[in-house]
Amino acid sequence: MRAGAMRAATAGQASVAIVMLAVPLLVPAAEPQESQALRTDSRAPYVHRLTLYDDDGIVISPSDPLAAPYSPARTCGKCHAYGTISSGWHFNAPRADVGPGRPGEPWVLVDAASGTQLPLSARSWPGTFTPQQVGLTDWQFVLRFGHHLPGGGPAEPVPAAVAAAPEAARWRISGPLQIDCLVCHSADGRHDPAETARQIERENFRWSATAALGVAVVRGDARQVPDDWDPLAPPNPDFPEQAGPKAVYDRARFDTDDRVFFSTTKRCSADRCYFCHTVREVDPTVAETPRADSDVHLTAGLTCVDCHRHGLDHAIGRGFEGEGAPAVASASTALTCRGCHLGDTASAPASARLDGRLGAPRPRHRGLPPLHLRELSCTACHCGPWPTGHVRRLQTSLAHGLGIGSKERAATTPPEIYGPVFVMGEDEKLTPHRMLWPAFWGILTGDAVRPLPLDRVQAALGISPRSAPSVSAEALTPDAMARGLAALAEAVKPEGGEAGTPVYVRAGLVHARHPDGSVRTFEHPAAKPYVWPLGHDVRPARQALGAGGCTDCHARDAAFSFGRIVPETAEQTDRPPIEFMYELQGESPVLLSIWASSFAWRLTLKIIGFGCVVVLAAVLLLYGFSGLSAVLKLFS
Amino acid sequence: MEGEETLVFSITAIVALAVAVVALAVHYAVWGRRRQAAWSPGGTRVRRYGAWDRFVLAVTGVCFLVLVGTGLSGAFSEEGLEEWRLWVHMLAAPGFALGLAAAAVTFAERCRFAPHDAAWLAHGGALFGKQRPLPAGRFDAGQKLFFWLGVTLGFVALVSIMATLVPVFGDEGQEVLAGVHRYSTLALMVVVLGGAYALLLVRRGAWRTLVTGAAEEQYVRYYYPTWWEQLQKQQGHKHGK
Repeated sequence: MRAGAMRAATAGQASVAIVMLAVPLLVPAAEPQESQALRTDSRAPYVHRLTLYDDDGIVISPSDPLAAPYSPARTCGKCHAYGTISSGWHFNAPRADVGPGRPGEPWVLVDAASGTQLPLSARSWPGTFTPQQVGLTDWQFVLRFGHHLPGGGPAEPVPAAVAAAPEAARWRISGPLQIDCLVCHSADGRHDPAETARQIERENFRWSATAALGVAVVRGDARQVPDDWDPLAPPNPDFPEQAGPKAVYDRARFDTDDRVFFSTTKRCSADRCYFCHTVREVDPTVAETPRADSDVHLTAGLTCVDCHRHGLDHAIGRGFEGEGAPAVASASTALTCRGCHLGDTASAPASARLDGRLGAPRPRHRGLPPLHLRELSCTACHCGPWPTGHVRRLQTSLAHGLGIGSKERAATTPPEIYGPVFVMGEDEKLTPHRMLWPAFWGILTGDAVRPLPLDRVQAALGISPRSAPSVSAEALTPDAMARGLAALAEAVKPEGGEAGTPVYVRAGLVHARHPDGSVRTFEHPAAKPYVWPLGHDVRPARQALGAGGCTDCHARDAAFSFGRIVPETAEQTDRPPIEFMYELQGESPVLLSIWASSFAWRLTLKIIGFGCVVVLAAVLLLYGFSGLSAVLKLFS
Repeated sequence: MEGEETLVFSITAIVALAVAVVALAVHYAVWGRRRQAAWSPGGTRVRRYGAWDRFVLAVTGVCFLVLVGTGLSGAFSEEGLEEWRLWVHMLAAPGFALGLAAAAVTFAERCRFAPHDAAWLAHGGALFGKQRPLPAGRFDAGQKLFFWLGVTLGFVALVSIMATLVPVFGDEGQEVLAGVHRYSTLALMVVVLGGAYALLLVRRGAWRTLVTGAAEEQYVRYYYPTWWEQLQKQQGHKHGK
């Protein structure tokens, strides 16, 4: 191996350069073969002491000063079918042949200066826009959201897409962002996903997995080099920063055969999942939000993948009922709340038909009228933060870059995400959701509102794309909005392609500029909040809604129905047409209040009811025995 | 209710109520119509129901109709017992419970079976053949049967739903209790349907008696001869004094 590597090194810089520039374009020819997996068929973990390979399949030697970064596709793909894995849920969003699945957390295009927070998803979930619809290329998408991408998908475009991309030259320099298996499968915490984020910011896509693994440090930034960068050329003394990225391997991480120990696990730790799936409650009025309780399942010793399972296809089960194929062909439908706690009678394996899977206790729900189990999802009572009078402001890894060190992140950092919001889920059950009010500049054409590309909006409004996100949407006063709409009208007019009315969407309302300069405000489906169901953190029975009695939900001030959902920024500007949770639930506040009021008398009603039961029982017993006695006398 | 249980209950309810209606229609066509001519209003009136009696029956009856309306429409609608139905249902329930308990206390003694009721029952209340007077006290055996069936089924319906409100029964127990509630109320509906038929269509003057509280002497003498004799004896006793 070492000899091979040395040969590659001594073949001269020319060959290295050719490889580096050509590999992304020649991927079909050089695509790693779908290997027959090396199997142990044991529950004991296989010790991954691996030879590293670069994109070209050349063995990496730490002593080679020109060694390329390691390629997960080549290295891990020796035994694990990379192509199959790349069809998994975490990587397949852009694929047209994959169903959208239940709406989930979107990516949020945020620009605080222009008051933009726009939910994006390549899965075309209702209420979201695709990156293409807002003018984002794959390249721009990766630069903006790659900090929490595990690689693959839009970060690993096919060669034809690279060739056709406006940033083809940049793709050729930076390379694809391959799926980094260690993002999830690292067992010892030495793999640093935040380092991946830093490398992506530097456009060092190809080098990110190597840097994150910690086997090398990466010098140089791909973003600094010009489009016609020649990796063979010696560093320009006038522009030393244009030397381009280079991996400097840590020899101590290699054994004498140039192999590296990968501490991996199939039972990924929740801490790995948390890098992308942390949700944090924030309270702008409190300097430090207290640490939240953990999910009860984690406390009980389970980890995420005990329920969210998958096969080699990485079609990970999302854990809700009715999930079904094909998105999760390999996931067991029995791995839902009901499946483990009550048993899944439709499941093929007998063990899954029974309850108690993974030690799940069987819920009793004593005193809970059965109607609740039909009308509410399990998560309604058991998941998420305890509802409060005003929905809580949340921050998520994907939206707020949690997991990456920052001194600028504050409780008010956009986007504004709130929860829990109790609305009807796809299964017609009330389910807790997280919520985002879209805010964006767009064009109203006929009845349709479509967002304008952010760079055009920024240009029209005179906003620098690099402006610090310290200004949040509350700075966008009605006057500023009117000025912005006027500027946008001017900006789109000359191009002639934007037939329609410039609009700004915020807090459930569309603000449209009339030709006479006036601003008209109206409701529109495009302004409706985007909601997605939440499934964690799960609270135990004694912490569930209802544990405190019926009035946890059935009270005139119960957050379950009367919680306010107005975004904080809209409190200072324009109130949205939907203010309370019952409006999203389609309920009448009068009926809810009457119903809730009846619970104040519930004890009295129970006493009346049981009093009547006692009276009726007494009458029946008295006259029953009397009648029986008479009949017995008759026959005797 | 889960889908399968809903379907089974809906079918059972349709069949039970349809059978009851058809049976009553057949009875009316064959025997009931002739009975209406057996009595004509007029003459001295005898008090049969006091104001309290009628109030109790009215409250119980109205609440029961509301409960049946909301419960059945919920069972047959796609939305199930959706909120407004449930709320009306539950708001009417205390009235029904109080009414039923009051009715039980009020009428239990009057509806105690007596030896002469055996003859009434043996002749099927003369409901199926030639109409003729049968021995009956203040209430005939049919009315007593109706009363005790109503009280028993009402009690089962009430106790089954009240039990769901105490933290004793888990999910499965709750489902069983809900099933008991549904089927006992269905049985009660069938019983009430029969009682309403007798009240409104078979025994002419019964409804008027219930509303006004008083019945014609001729009516009492014909349908409640034993009670009439008792009244006569009591009156004679008073006059004798």
